[in-house]
Amino acid sequence: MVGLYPKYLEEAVEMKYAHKEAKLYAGGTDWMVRHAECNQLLFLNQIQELKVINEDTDNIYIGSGCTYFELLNNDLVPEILKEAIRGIAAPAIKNIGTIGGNICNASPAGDTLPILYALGAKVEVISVDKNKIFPIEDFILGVRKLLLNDTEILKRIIIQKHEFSNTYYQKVGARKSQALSKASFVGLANIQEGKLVDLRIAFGSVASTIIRVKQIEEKYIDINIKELPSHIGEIKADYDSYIIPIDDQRSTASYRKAVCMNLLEDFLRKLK
Amino acid sequence: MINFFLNEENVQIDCDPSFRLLDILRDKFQLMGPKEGCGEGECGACAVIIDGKLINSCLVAMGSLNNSKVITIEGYSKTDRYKVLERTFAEAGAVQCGFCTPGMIMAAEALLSVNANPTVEDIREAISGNLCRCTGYNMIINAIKLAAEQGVGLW
Ligand SMILES: Cc1cc2nc3c(=O)[nH]c(=O)nc-3n(C[C@H](O)[C@H](O)[C@H](O)COP(=O)(O)OP(=O)(O)OC[C@H]3O[C@@H](n4cnc5c(N)ncnc54)[C@H](O)[C@@H]3O)c2cc1C
Ligand code: FES
Ligand code: FES
Repeated sequence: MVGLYPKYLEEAVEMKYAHKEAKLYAGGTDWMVRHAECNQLLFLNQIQELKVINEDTDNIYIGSGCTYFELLNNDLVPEILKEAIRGIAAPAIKNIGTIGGNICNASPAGDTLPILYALGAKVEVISVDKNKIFPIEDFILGVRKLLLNDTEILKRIIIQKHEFSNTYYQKVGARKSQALSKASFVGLANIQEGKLVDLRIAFGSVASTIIRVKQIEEKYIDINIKELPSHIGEIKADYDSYIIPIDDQRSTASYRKAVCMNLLEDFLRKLK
Repeated sequence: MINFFLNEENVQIDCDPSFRLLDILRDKFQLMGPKEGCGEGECGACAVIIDGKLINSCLVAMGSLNNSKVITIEGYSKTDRYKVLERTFAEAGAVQCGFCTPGMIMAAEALLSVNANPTVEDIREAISGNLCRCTGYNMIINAIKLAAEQGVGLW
């Protein structure tokens, strides 16, 4: 096995172009557990450009190589994302696990994903001759499947600056921090003059990818918040066909579905 | 050639960059303090301190180490801070079979080095990735609390 050790992003994409079969290693917390067979390993952990967090007037930019602790210690990172990160594993994992690794691992149990979907995050992918930016839901195609070819690297995550009057996040897992989540839920909303003007809902661990259904969200825009309780049954029914968890050793499908529906209802009832 | 610092000494090793730091520490450097409990990042028995941070050595590929400073329990045991933790772990009855102890001590150091006066909650969080089958954790938490009290000025 050969190691590749770029110090700069430009060098990294050139190496990736020259060694298309090389696998990428960020924090290694997923990689080392899965022991994927490969002949070349490209280490991203020395590249400072992947650790940058900055902003312009509209957006926050988060380098894919930022570790969980680096995100928790940065003022630009949205509070709701930090809330999800606090619930991820123990300090020794937070010290090396990266947000880019969490995204590129493309597990429906990845804890940053529901938040990033709800925030409408975009990803920026870089290769020798191109920079591409597209929505995270177009980047993650399924379990361990990405829209990323063998010359590309995830550079950063772009989050539009946006205030929400209501934020709600819950992760239901076997133990508070350690276990991968069994089900997670995020709800974001804005209410102006008694009307729901922005609604975003995402579920984790309940299907092969994160579930966010914009048609359902749009259906309830402009609704008077006082009328919302009478729509709760309808909203739950709208989501019913999207929440299709698989049975596995972590939790049974029906338990997960019940948990999701309860969290959805709790979020809606607490909106004000 | 992978260059890094092991317990303050500059070392080089020529190995497959995907090899685990845990195996290199034990097999090549005969450092037996870091233990393999789970091999999956869940138990903390293999924890070491890399560039000041607590990290499970079973999750570290050698190739990621370039120039990093790795401290194992063997290197740490030469410090005054260790002497305090060793004493308070004994006083509090925090060691039974001892399998988790090196990792627990590293987790305690990683905490105290950034928070010299931790609350019980801080301690619980700091050792939340370290499993102990024997003690039930309260003795370990007491030991770390005692170390913070007895080691005033050291951290
Ligand atoms: C004990 C333990 C507990 C855990 N608990 C949680 C938890 O509670 N919640 C949770 O969500 N996860 C958890 N995880 C999973 C893991 O820690 C996270 O998914 C982490 O964010 C992965 O990041 P990494 O940098 O370590 O990824 P790596 O292992 O380095 O990489 C993961 C994958 O992403 C690819 N990749 C990484 N960076 C890039 C990039 N820039 N461009 C393209 N591809 C890239 C790699 O090739 C690899 O396929 C846990 C893991 C362990 C071992
Ligand atoms: S052996 Fe490394 S964490 Fe268990
Ligand atoms: S003392 Fe035996 S595992 Fe902790």
